[in-house]
Amino acid sequence: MIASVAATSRDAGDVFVALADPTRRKMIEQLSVLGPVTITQLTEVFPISRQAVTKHLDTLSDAGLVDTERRGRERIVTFRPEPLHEAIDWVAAIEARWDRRLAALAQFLAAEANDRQPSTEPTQEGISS
Amino acid sequence: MTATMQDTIERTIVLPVSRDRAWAAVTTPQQISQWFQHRWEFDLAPGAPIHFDFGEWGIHRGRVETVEPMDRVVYRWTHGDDADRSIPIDQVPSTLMEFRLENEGDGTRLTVVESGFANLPAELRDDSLRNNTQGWDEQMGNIQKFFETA
Repeated sequence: MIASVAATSRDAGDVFVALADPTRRKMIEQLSVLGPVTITQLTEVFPISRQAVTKHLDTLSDAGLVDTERRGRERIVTFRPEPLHEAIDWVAAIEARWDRRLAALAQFLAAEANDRQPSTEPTQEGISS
Repeated sequence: MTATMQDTIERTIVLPVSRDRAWAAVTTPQQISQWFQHRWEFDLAPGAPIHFDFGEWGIHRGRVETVEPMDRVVYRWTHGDDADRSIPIDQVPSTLMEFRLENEGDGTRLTVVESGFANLPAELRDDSLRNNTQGWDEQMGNIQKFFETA
């Protein structure tokens, strides 16, 4: 294991930025399959310049999704999945907030329907999950 | 792998009301203010400004982006500190919320898509979670209550 220093400044949003680019998503997929690789090996997999690979890796590193470690003349890149979980938690929290709002909307509409037409509404059939 | 993860969240609910009733609920300032539990003031026209009063979270600007009657409406709202009104709204961090309606059985399916989180500055994302202490249990309770009422 490469010792990883916790990057306290990063947050879930950096992960979204990192994942917004298709090349970086492919890079993460490759890294998760290949395990630790050198930047040279990554450059062989991707049809882009070493400079471009390095730039994408910097973005992934800002998001905490990769560690890079110098070994001799090479740099070894290792995938770190943990920030993905933080991002998933963050998304879940936003979703929960919308669920609360939508439940409030449903209650608002139900209350209004009850006020207007207490007993003449047809039964609500055919409403599935 | 979550390689398809985007900066978008999507939620959906089937409301036991007609399409035009659902449309009114998501496009009439007075109605949307009631269930959203924050005050919205706007005219329903593309480009029209929106005034949001989020209580202790402050006053925010927004804009009506798209209006497709009975089908789809898109609103923009700003995040974080939006006190300086001399800054154009396009230069203030914001997200888009889209409300989409479809017929489903006797009711109407409402789908909400909020997008643009990747563009929010880091400190705002934490802020946007502050109001998020209630959990799923309460949600499920609300939904249950709704179906018992409906």
